[in-house]
Amino acid sequence: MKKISIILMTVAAIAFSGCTALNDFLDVKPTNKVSAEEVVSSPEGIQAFLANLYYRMPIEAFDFTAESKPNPEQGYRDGFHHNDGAPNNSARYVWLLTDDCTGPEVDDIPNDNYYMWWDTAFELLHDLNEFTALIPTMESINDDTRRELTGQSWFIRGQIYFALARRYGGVPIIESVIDIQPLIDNPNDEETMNETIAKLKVSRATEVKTWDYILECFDKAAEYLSETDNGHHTMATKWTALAYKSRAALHAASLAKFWDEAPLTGDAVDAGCVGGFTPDDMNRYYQACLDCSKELIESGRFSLYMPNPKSPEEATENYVHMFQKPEDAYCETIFVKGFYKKGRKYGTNQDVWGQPAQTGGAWPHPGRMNPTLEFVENFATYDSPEESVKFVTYDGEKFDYDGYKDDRVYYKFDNPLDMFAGKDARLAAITILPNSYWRDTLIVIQAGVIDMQGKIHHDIRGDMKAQYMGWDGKVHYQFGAADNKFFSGFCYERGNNTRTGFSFRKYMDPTFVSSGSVWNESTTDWIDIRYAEILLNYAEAYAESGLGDGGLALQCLNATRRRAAFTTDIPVTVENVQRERRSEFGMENNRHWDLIRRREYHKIFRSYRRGALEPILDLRDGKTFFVRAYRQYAAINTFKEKWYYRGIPGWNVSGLIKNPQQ
Amino acid sequence: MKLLRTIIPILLLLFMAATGANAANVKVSGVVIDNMGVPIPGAALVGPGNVHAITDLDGKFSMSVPEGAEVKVTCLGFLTYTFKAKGKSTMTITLMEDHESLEESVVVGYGVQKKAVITGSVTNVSSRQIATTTANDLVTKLQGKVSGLNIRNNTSTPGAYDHSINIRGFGSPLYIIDGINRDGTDFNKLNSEDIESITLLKDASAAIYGINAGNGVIIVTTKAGSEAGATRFQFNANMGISTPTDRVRMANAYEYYWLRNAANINAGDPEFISRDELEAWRIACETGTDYQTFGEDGEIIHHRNTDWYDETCKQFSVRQEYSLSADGGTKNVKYYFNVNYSNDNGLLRSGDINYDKWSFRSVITAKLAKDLKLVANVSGYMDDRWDPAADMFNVFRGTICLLPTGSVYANPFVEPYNAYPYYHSVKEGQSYNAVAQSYIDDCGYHHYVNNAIQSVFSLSYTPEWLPGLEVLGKVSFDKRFAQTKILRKNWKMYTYNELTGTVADEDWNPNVQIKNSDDYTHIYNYQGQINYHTDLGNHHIGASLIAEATKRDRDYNSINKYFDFFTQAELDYAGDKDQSTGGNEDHQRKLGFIGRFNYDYAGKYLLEAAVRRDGTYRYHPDVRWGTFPVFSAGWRISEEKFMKENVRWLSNLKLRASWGILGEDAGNAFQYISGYGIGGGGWWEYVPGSVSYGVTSPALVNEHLSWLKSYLADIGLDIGLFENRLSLTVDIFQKDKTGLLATRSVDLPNTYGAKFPQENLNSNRTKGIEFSFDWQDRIGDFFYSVKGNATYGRTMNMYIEHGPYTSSWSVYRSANDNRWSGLGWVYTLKGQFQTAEEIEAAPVYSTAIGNRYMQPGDWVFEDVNGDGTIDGDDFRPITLSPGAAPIWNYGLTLDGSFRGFDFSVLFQGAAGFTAHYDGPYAEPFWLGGNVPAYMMDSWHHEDLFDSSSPWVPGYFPAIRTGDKACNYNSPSSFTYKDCSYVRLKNVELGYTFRQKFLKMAHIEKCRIFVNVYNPITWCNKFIKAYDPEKVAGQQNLGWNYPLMMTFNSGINLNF
Repeated sequence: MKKISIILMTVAAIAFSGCTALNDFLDVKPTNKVSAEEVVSSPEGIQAFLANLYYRMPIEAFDFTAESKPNPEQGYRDGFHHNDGAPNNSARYVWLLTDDCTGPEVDDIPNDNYYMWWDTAFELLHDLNEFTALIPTMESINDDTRRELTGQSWFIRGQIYFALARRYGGVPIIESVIDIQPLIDNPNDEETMNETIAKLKVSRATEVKTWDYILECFDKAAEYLSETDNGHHTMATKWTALAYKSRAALHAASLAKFWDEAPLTGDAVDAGCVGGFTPDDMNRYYQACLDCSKELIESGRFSLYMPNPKSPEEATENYVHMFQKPEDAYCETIFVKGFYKKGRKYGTNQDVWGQPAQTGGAWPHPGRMNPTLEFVENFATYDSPEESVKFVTYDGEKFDYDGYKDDRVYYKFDNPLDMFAGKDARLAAITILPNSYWRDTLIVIQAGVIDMQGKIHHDIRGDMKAQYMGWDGKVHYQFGAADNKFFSGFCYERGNNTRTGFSFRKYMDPTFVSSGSVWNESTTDWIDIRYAEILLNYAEAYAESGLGDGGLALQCLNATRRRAAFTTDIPVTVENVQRERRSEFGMENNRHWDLIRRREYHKIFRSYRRGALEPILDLRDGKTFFVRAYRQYAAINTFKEKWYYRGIPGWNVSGLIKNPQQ
Repeated sequence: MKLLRTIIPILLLLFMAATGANAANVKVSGVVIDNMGVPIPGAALVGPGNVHAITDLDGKFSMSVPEGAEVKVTCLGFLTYTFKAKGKSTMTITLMEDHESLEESVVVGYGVQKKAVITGSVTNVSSRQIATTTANDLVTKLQGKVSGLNIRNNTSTPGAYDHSINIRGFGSPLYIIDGINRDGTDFNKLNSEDIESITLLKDASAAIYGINAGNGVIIVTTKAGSEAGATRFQFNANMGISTPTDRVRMANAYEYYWLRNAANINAGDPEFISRDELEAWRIACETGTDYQTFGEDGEIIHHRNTDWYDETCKQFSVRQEYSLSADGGTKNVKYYFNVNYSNDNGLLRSGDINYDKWSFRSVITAKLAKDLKLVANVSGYMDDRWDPAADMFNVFRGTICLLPTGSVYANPFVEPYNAYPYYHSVKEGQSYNAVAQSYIDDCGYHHYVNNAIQSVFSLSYTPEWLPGLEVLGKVSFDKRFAQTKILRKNWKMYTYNELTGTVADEDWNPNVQIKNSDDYTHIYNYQGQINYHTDLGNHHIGASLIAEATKRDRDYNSINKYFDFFTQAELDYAGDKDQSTGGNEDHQRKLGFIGRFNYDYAGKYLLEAAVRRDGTYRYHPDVRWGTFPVFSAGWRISEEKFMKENVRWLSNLKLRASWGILGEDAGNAFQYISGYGIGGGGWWEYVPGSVSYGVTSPALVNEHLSWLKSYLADIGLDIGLFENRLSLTVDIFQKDKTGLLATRSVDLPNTYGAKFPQENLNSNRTKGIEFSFDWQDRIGDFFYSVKGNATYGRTMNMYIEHGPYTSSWSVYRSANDNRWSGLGWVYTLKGQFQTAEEIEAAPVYSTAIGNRYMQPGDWVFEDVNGDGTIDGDDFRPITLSPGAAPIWNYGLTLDGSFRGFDFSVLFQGAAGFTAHYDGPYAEPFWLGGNVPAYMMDSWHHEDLFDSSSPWVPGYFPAIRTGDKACNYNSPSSFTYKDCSYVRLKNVELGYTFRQKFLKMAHIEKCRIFVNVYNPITWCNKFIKAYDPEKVAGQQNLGWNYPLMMTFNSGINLNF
């Protein structure tokens, strides 16, 4: 009996010991949640914390596709992070929608389907506001950390509003989160519901006020952020804030100056939600751009990468290297988005889209980024450094795009590359020219042949395998070879060949190998803003406004030119600045936003077809001549003025004034 | 149960021995056995004047009664048998098992109850009923046998255990094995021989198991051994060969070309193949050889059909199973041991599917003291499964989609390209070479190893100082360890170049991947229980208090690496580049307190009330405790005096009703905790080459989020007639489920930047009826029984949170509240166009291309709204949505035995569900792949090559592709097929030897049997090829491992 009592007591103790503190037993901590304070209590934690917000910042890097699908049923996508889930961005990079670039299967402009960033913008803002409110309440962090977090918060806020204003004009300025917990707690209380929802409806600020706010955000960020970082320019510092302020101020100033070039009407205009700039605003913004650019320049913290090349060839190599390996150009890069590793969510696709067909390897869709004739012709030559030099293809060139005419006497070349002799060193750095070498491969770009009878064959739908006898008694093909593995131009088939005569080089990693079917295998980092832009922003602000320091502006404009192996200075004129910007920032995002802020899109894209330069091999003598033509089977694009502002999703539910003609 | 059978008669014997016996005229002696020939110990024989005898352990008895007197033989669990005493030396009395014995004890929640006084809707299945089917696993053996238990098999993949199980159409049930809540996997992998009985709690009586018992409870009790003395061994062996129940025959090369050509001609395009070529292919297919013709330059043109299924799969797979058990014991110690092994080698010709399973169980019951009993029940299994890395889905899809005109090897006519390793590089209908993918040596493998140990130790104390009191403590510890290894090899496929006579190779999967993962789960359960029952005259009172705590921890780790060059499938030898590791943990806790009270008056008026207070870690502390009450009552009308005296043929009539509240977990755990999330956030590369992972911002939380709550009511009637030979049960039930998760439809301004969290908003109602009958009787030595059951259960949406409807049409089309769930919206099919004139007069079928490509034979849909256009507005909810569970489930069992022979026949079926045919089965040449041969029965021109020749009608519209296929594939009552079916599930025929020579070999009994599983199915002939039982969604339409028909034979030896 005693034994039994002992056993029973033991069993009872085991069985009920767990029940002494019932809620303690049930209090399991989730393994995937943590408080904000716990996170930011160490520098690594702050980085981890910012990583999420940084990741969501609207950076139009290689993982951005300009195309948006606002319909949730089609899988809502706003363009950012297409490498997470929907890896196929169809190569719709920012530059592909400008007059600088086109693609065999993309020949488009920023219409209604592009550049939407709304819902996720406000989600990021919501989370940022929530975090911002926490900063002063955190007890475990020191003042330096508090300042740093405050500065980062303003910086991210500036980025959000800058991206929003560029797209939508004036937007609601929301700095705090209204707690809707009561709505969740009392689901049937309609009065609270209506009251709260009314409070949630924040109207749009005027466009002017929004731009003022953006500049204020970057000012605040510059005030709080530290002046140094880890040296990789992947985290915002005071200088990063100033750089983006320079970009934003120039954008705002240009809008103020050029808004009337494409005036709009409607409620949004009447309310000042779009437009409504005064000359004062314009000068204020130009001055702001000049001031912050100057501060950055005078800080001495940045310089151009390899500013004094010995030859144009060296200039080309330097320029190429900066984009292939941004980590080698810290002196110039101001803010970089790194791509960490291959794979979904981490890597990007520009290498597979950009390769000429010949070096596409196992990837089924290369050759999708084709610089246009207009882009190529924009460059100056070393002989005429002060103007864009257009190609003269035949005697008496009229610079029209009417294609081959057999009564014209075309200039012929033994080596097609000779056509581009003397052009700005950056041309060969940004594009692969016909008959140049890339990855030890001679890139064959040939639109057609003149057969021995003098008949031209250059329709891109022509048969790639059709054989033509040549002057040398050998068989020749329309596109240079019978198999797409051996040429990169024009052939319509599969959409893998350049339609303009030029292939893409900038950013391309010469060692990249595609495994054939896997997306997101490129890891080249993206330079979002670099010192050259600050220089040219200063030059532009000076040229447009007459404010600022003319001597500094002259230095600014010519610094990037010297880096491109030009040896003489040119004066600071509007035209010179714009040509230089388009040359220096070729296939960066600047062109698109320059066309937007300067209201040039609708002027250029008026029943516009992008141009091509077709190399034609004359089989009678083995020489090549060029034909200026529209890109074959080009789309005819007209930019509607209303597209300077994106339509606002859900404006009616959110109680907002919609954009003109939305 | 067995214990009671033994003990009660012994007590009776003692009692009778004391009363003494009268003098008799005849001596009657013999043996009492059951219909399987097994001796029944403890059966009572009662003659006139209270003369008694009790059978001994060998079933033998001896007694003296007057000549011609009636002797009644009774035993618990058997129907009473009466004979007239004759002066015969020995006699054999066979008793018939009583399926519905009211005196039998049934395991219910945390205890046992006599069947007669149960007030809930509870069904019990005995081990014997389970054993009548020979099939892969326990679940398949239960199918069709239990009313309210709806089971569908989704695949017969060896080791997959992929079944859909629900009770009355409610959703996944809770599994209680030996008193412990365990997972569906544990239930699936139970060795059916270990099972003593299975009980289903189908109504609110499940509430005693608290949260997650909302969909009913399946309680399994395993065997415990007996006090029979000497050890009884049982050895079972069976072997089965399996072949798919049916399959969709895909077109052979001739049919493929015929249809391909028809598609061109029908669309007005040039012929696809010449008459001569088509003829050559016809001959090739008919003769099954390589038929050769000669081209213009005298070159040989080969014609050889490839049947990808035959190239990939064997005719049948082989399965074997062996088990050995021992049970026995004494008054103080009882034991049961079992070891079991089974193996299935799958259908692949490569032989690279293999499944082995070992399991054991060891149950020891020991009386530690007079009033203290310990039960130690330890069991475990280890299984080991291999299949090709390409996945069975891809292999089977290949057998469906690849063209019969292709070949397995790069060139079947040129050496060495007609053999390994020169697999032909093909891709059609998203499928690659199925043969290549079925070999582990080529493409790599998946290797799964699952180990589990389960243990329950219980100690019960029944003090002598207070009879009726029991104090019980129970501790269980389970550990599961699952190991997965994946090796994806780099392999090559080849394309033959006619011009050069060489092959070009293509690399598949350039990076050889190796991935190992471990998954550990530990589950601890503690229970304390105090039971008390007492009788005060006719008042029978019982009460229980129970406390239970569960702790469950899971730990998962994985490592993924790539080989620079492959050597051995070892992580150590793989390269470091792009390697990754992962892991996570999960911790769960639950607590429950239960009080139960039973009362009955003279076994006539029954009352039970129970309440469980359950707490879970998942929800906010304020809402994590829930109360689940259940009330039930019964009235045994047959026990009333007026019934007992007047209606003698009525042996049982019980009316019962129950009502209770049940719960079910909803949504993810910890939704109440607002916090920054780790993982799933963004990332940033601060320093090149290293990454910082972000924390995600907190979402809005709902601290009120809680489990789903169901209100379940059930009214039932149990009827027993003719001494219980016929029993009937009818139940009607209604379950109102509330608190289904939904997001508030109130539109927040999108500038707010956050969305409402999920809330417990929606509700639905499932109602239905369930009935079963059981008739058993004997005709001389022929014993037979007929059992049937049917369940109807259908769910209706009640409240559904929704946004404002914009029009009456949108109400009609999108409103879901107060409607049956699972309606399918399709066009109403009126027939097929017969002539071009009819098409001209028809409404517009496509606003994009009009009717210009329509052909006679195309579907005629009803233009319901009469707007002259057939579009989404003409959809009507005239069918059920595919994938929804059947509304009706039914089963019918016929059992019988005759002098050593026994048989069992089981019919099973379901009705009221639908499948949708699309992809390769509905769209001709889907993604360039093959077509089912049934499409030969389509509209076509009399002269296949002449589009002006008259049409020949067929079952399908004229074959075309692309835009020109028109409404071929549109959702209609044609592409949504009714899957209702009845199938002959199981037929088993056995014979039991009891000859003397067996006895000499110390073999008590030897039974041999043959069995056929899934032999015949009756259903829509179109559906039959897909197997209606598993049809659910496109991926199951013949794209995965089929369901099998199996021929088994085996032996059961007792010694």
